[in-house]
Amino acid sequence: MTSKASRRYSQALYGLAEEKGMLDRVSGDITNCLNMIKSSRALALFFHSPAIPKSKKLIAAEEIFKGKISDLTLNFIKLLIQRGRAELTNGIFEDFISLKKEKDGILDVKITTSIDLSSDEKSAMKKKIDEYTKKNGILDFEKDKNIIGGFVARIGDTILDGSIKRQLELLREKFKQGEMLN
Amino acid sequence: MAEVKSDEISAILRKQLSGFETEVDVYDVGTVLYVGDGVARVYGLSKCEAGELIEFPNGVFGIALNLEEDNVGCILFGESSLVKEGDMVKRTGKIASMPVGEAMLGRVINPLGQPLDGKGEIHTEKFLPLERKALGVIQRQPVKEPLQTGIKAIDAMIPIGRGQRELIIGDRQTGKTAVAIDTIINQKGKDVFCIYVAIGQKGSTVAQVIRSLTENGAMDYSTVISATASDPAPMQYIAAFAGATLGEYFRDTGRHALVIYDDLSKQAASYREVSLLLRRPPGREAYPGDVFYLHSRLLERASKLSEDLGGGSLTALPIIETQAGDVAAYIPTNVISITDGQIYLEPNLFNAGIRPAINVGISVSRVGGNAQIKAMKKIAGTLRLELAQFRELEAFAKFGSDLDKTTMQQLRRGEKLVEVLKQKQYEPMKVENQVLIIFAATKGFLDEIPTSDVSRYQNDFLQEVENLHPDIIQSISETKDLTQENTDKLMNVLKDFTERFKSTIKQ
Repeated sequence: MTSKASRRYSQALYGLAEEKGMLDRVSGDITNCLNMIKSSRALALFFHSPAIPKSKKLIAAEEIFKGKISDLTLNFIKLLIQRGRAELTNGIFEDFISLKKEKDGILDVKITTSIDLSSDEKSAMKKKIDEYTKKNGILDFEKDKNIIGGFVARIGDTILDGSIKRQLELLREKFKQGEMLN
Repeated sequence: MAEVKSDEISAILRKQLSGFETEVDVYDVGTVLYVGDGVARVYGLSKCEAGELIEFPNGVFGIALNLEEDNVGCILFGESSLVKEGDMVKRTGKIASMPVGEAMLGRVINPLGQPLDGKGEIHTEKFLPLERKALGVIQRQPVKEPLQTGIKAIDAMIPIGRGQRELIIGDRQTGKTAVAIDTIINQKGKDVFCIYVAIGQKGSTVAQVIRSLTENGAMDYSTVISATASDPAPMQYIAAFAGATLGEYFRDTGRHALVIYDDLSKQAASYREVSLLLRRPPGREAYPGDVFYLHSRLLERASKLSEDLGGGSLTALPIIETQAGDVAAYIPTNVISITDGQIYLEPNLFNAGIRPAINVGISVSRVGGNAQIKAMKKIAGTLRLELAQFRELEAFAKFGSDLDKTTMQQLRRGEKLVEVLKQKQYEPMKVENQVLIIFAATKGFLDEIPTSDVSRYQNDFLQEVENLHPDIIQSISETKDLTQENTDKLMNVLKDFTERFKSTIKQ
């Protein structure tokens, strides 16, 4: 879950990290922290619970993360706790990661096909997608028999639909309109 | 009917298939975050344009109205219950538009251009966007031709020109719609295409309107756009724009069109509903800040085109319903200031039997005077003046008994004038006849006639002129003027007729 506030925080952190030349370090920290929070329910609850006073959260954060992550990241986490925005942590980290990807020209692409592709086919697909988007795509492959054949690629909000299912839908529309009879 | 052979169908289908090219279909999508009450919030749709048509599942369409940082606010033109949270929606890349064309005449449609009358599909070739920018100054010219409503009081004193925007305002049950319907009926054979937009009305009322239009042969050149009270608020809100779009089609092809928005108070209310659901900040009477712009951009689309562009026109007759005569409420004042004049209908006049219940004292038309035919202009001046004097004296005369001769005379004249201006519904009068009867009244020929006989006098007199002196009527309709020669002739005819008529009055 991302929100307007989380975007502001992640942008601030990104800007500062970039300025200090610690972008790689910080983004590594963020990925680790996010994995930690996601894998430990106790930690997530601890951060998100409003019942735990800020002072305790601060001490705990210090103990958990000190030495494992850069000072910048630690200070950022402390700032969040101090401002009572600890419940946004997950969103901010996720936003940060997607911001990093965007700046690096990396694109998440989800490819759906009806059969499993060979690695040759996969790399050919990646080449085509990269050509189309002019970015470095990270492809996530998924198998779905429902599309019958062809492929569906989802790049952000845009869908490239070359599936047989969609073709059939379009054909049905055309038949309905009877436009080919003319 | 011969049976269709299956191989024939396959042959056609094969032909269709051969022309079908497989291409990768590219479209943008979003996810529904929230849906209800005719609006939806959609996450994604990052390249969406304002006013773009959005396709929801189950054939529901919507328009993107709010473009926000992380979501898009849409209004839905279908059942909200058909859309669920998490549904995938698609951009269509089209700005919301409707089909237009001659095929729309005689039909009842919804604001999206789909037929509601069960008379089958409407075959049109053109699509025009619902929201279009009004024409600029260069493309226009001043209003100069009359739009005859066929209602004596209006055509004589509050004349409406083609391309004008004249507001019809009044409380409920004062005959606002009746004025509008009579105007449509009177356009028969005058090459004016009429569009009646019913917004937020009862289905039964709309059915009634359609029936009276059909019965009077007015459906041949009319279209009814209906968004009844049970339609979703977004549908009611865009209905007015659909009417303007259809009217503009006729205007832009060099013809004349008349749009009646019945009524804009309900349209404003539905816009308020949509705006509040989209969480736009409320202003006065909880209407959003741009409710003035909503009506001004709609009514600004009424226009008279310059001759270079074909000289077509779009006349708008918006209707506003007031609450207990309160014209100082928000929406009435807005629309009064936008339009080129207003026709006030009052319940006390209506109840006193003066129908149409037009209060001519406060009704005005700011541009129509230029469009009035000369003959009418000549006699309407006196009519206005005498009625004004009558109203002033009327209140005064209620107290006194001893009135001098002139006052009595003025009162008597006023009474007859009021009586002459009464008119039955669905009986619009030709402008030539209006000139004749108003001429008779202002020249004082009716002064001696008892009020109860005025309507008979009118009928008999018009009948007589039509039968015995058709040249006068012809001259008026050709020259649009009342020549001196005709004036003299008419005076003689009137003198003679009035004498004869008096003898028929039962004592």
